[in-house]
Parts: sequence; C-alpha cells; structure tokens
Amino acid sequence: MTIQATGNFPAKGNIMSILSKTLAPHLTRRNLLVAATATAAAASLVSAPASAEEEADIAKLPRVKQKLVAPPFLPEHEQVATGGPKVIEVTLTIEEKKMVIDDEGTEVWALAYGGSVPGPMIVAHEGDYVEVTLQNLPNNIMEHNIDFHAATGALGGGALTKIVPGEQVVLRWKAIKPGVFIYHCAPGDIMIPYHVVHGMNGAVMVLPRDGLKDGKGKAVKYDRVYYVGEQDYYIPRDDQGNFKKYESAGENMSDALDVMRTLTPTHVVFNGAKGALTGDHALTAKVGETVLFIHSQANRDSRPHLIGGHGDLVWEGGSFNDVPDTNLETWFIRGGSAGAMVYTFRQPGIYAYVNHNLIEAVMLGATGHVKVEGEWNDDLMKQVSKPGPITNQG
Amino acid sequence: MTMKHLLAMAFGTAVLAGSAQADSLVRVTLIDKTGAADSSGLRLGMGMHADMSKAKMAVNANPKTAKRGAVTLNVTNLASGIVHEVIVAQINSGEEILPYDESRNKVDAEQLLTLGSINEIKPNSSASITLNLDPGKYLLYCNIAGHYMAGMWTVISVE
Repeated sequence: MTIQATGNFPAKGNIMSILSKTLAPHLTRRNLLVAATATAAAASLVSAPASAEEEADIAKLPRVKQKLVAPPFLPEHEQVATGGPKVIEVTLTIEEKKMVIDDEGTEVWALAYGGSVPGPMIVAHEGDYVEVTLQNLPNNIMEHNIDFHAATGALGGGALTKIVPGEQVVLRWKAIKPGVFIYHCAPGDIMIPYHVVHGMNGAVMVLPRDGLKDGKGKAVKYDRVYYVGEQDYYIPRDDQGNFKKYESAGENMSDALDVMRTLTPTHVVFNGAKGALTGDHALTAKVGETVLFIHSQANRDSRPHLIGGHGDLVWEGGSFNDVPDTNLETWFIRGGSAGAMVYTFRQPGIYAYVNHNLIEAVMLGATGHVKVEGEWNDDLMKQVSKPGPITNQG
Repeated sequence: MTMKHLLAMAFGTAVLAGSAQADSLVRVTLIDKTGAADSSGLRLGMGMHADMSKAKMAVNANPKTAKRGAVTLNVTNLASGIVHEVIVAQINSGEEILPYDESRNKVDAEQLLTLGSINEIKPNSSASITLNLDPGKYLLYCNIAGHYMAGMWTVISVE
C-alpha cells in the first residue's frame, strides 16, 4: 500500500530524498547540474586519447566481430588464442521488455542487455581489446550504462557509457585480467540495484592466451561451455498476495523498492526464468565430455552444486590466474561476481545443477538440469537390490 | 518527518481505505530521453496533433481511466538527472490547446483549474498524491520551462 499524501506533500519523495542524501548528497537541481558538469569533466579527463602512438598500435591490430548469443550459450571462440592480441567488436543492445519468469505467468519488465536475462557473454583472451557498441533502443524509457568488472577505470566504463533511449556509445577496454567477470548497469543512486535486479547483468570471459590450465600446468580443454546467470527478482504483490502486473517498465518502482528493501527475493532463477534450464531446455552433455560452467550472480551470494557430480576444477573467485580448487561438492559465488567450474561427466542421466540453498533451488526457482547421454558405469554406482521390504531389521 | 506527520498520514490512509482505492490507483511515470539533445522549439502540446513519436519527454499513465472519488497518482520520475513535477488540471477535452506563456516557455497555469501537484520529484524517486476527482478529463503535465511543449503531458479520464 502506498503512503498517502494530499496536496503538495510528496511523501515518498521525502523518504527518497533521505536515502538520496545518504547515497548522493547533492541532489538539488543546481547540484545536479554541477554533478553533470563534474561527470563530463571527469569523462573528458579519463577519455583523453592515449598517445597517438598507442592508438596507432591498436589500429594495426586485427579486428574480429563477435556475434553475441543468448545464454546459456557462448559466442564462438578459440580456447587457445591464435596469433597476437585482437580487437573484439561486439554490439550490445539494451531492451526494456516484459518477460514471464515462472510457470504461473508472473511478469517482470526486464531491463535486458541483448534482450536476454542474463545478458550475453562476451569472450576475449588476455591482451585483447573489447570494443563494445552499447545501444539503448529508441522505444526504451530509461537511461542505461554498463560497468564491466573485467575492465579498468571510469567505474568499469560506467562513467563513459551513460546513454538515453535512441543513443549509442562505443567503449573500448583492454582485457588485462584473465577470468570470468560480471557486467551490469549502474546508472546511479537507487537505479543501480533496481536495474540489476530487473535482469540487467551479464558476464565476460577473458581466457588466458594459452587456454585454461589445471593446478599442475596441464592444459584443460572443454568440449562444451554453458553460462548460468543467476537472477534474484523482487516482484511486488497485491493485497491478496498475488504478484502485481504493470503496463510499462519503471511503473513498479516504488513497489519494487519496498520489496527490495526486505532483501528477500520472490524468485531466484537461472537464465531469467524458473525452468529456463530444465525439461526441454536442459543443458546437454555426453559421458566423457568435459563441460565448463560459468556461474554469475550480480547481486547476491550463491552456492552452485551439481547433484550427482562435482566441481572437478573450480575457479571459485573467477580468476584464471588462480590455481583451481579440485573436487568441490559445492562452491561459492559471492554476490557481484562470476566463477567457473569444469566437470567431466562419468555417468549418464539427469543431473540437477542447483543453488544449494535448497529453499532457493526448489521453492524460488534456482534449478537447472544437465541431460547426459552415455553408458552407465556400474563400478561408480550400482543399485545392488531394488527397494523392497526390510529383510533383517537392524 | 515528525511522528505527528506520520500519524496524520496513517490516519489519512485509514480514512481512504475501503473506498475502492485499488481501483483508483494510477501509476504515472515521468520519462525523459533528452540526454544531451536540445528539445527546445518543439510544439508537442495537447490538441496540437503533433507527431508524438518525436517526443523525448513524456508522462505515461496506467490505467488511463479511473473511477470517480479518491484517485491516487503514484508518480515515478524515471529521469536519471532532471527534477520533474506533475500538475493535475481539469480540462474539458483532450483537444484543447492550452494557454501558453511563450516568454516563460510554460503553460499559463493560472488560466487552468489546477487540482493538485507534486513539485520537485527528484530523479529516480516516487511520490504519491490522492485527489478527490469527479468524472471528467484531467491533464497531468510538467510545467518546468519547456517540458510541456517537449511532450511531457498526458490525459486521464475519470468515470
């Protein structure tokens, strides 16, 4: 229920201004102008061109267009880089679109990079340059930007990429840290969490030029790779407890902020919606294949677990410079990060890939499936006798 | 906000409860796509039959029809950097051309029947106002200089 006010008294406005004072102390109209000027000044400072020589060196590099695809899939890429550094060109659109997030028809006006939740993964190698054309589609109604955790400076690019609907901006950043990293929208103030919990996040994978290695320096090759982006949603309910629906993006803001303040999500899902990675949409693999799973959570802690399998090698913090952990049962993804895991499937069947907060997995939606084909190995597991009456009670 | 204010507001809510308030909630978003663009010189006012697809500023209301009685407007300013306002004025039809003060680049609000307003809605924040509305047409607009002619208005009906 909304706080009521009559006449000119902006009740929620006042509450918000208290918050704003905490987060951004200068939100008067005049100070906004000052802030805008300061941002512009900072932007011009940081976007001062590299020396002409450096720019010329970058201009000589081969340019590769990378076609982004919706998760759980990744764009075509080499595991071991051939040749020297490249400029990877990607176009990332921003769409504000209504999406259904569970099997009961619950809706969210998602703020979606590439039109998907999570946004598409970008793949580069260490030393490459990633050149992103970010497009805020004309029918959108909000300002957006992008903060790449893989990038260096200017709030991850956030300070250089603010665009209103109908605009685009091109940002180039050098991939100097190998690993998996999230990206997300960070337009300022309360809109930062609002955009992120409306789906506005994705991930980047920066591979070492010579590919992944285990802790002993042995090359790790994967046969398949999947990107699981975990999303927490905070959907407002009406007086009867039903999830509310809205006619356009942003209309839910005061309601949604109230739910967000509880820190209790109504949905925790993989790849945008409950069931997005189960049943017909299950991930697939074959016995003997090595699969790389990348798991991101832009806002909240998670703890992936592959039921019936393990994390053979886990880069829990996401850095490929770190020696991977081995044989983990469950690994931790800290909110605001991505991690990577490889597993070689040894048995056929359906595996559940879950957030092992089982309330979140089963009741809130954080479950995916991996359907694995191949020959069963009795040595690893065998049902010695089928269920039947107790024969000799212990 | 003092305790007395909070109590007064709580009382106001209690009084209005049961007046089919859920049916009379209109969600209003203030949209501002101007960015660095110059939106001066536009003639996108009511009754001007302009191509509103050119509008970089807008007021969006859902639903556009409310029931007579207590109507709550829940207004969210989606602009990231600009303060906006919402003024509610009774009009005869959505075809009227409003009196406009060209020198100030504002609607001449004194010539309209203004029923309420929420001033200074900061970016990324929401505010609510509840008005007792009779059947008719109501204009919701922002009268910060230039915003009305840039398209920042909409009309709702009360039945």
